[in-house]
Amino acid sequence: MSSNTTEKTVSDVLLALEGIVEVAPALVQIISTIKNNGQITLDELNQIMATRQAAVAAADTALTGAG
Amino acid sequence: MRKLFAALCVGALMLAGCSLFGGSTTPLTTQQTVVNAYTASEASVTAAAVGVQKSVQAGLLTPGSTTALAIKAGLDAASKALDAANAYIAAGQYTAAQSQVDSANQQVTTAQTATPTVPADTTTTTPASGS
Repeated sequence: MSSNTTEKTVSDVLLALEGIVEVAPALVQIISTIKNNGQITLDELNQIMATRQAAVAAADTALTGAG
Repeated sequence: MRKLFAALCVGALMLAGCSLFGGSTTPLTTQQTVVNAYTASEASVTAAAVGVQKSVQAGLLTPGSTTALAIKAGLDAASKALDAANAYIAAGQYTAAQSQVDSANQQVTTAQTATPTVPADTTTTTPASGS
């Protein structure tokens, strides 16, 4: 890992996730899990990834004027 | 002596504040650090994608314009980097994953900078009739 990497604490992650809850209801469960366990599973990572992929796809559509 | 006591008090207060507000005095493992950085980056890219859509809806960003296509390219690059990061994390290759996260963060920062900001919601509430 590079030496200039900024450590992200669980609090940092929760803050970032909570900022997008309004557009990604599925994240509520994930946030709850992280708060309870302080960790995140690979399955939950995949859910977050799927949420991002869907958001980027929607943004692509908006930016190109397609659809 | 009084200065030393004051310094010790400040130090104690800082440590207490750190505990209260979620700061951790335990060093994170490489895995935890990378996974947390990855998760935060996912949130950043998702938020940026949502911000872009709001900007288009508000008429601040024209679909198909040079700016819009540049933002799209940035978001797509960030998204691909995070796909790669996720695969590296699944494979336990955290150094490679962190590199992809760093790349994604760079791309999304550029995209966010180019995205016009929609003013904060100024929705007003309508008083209930009869009140």
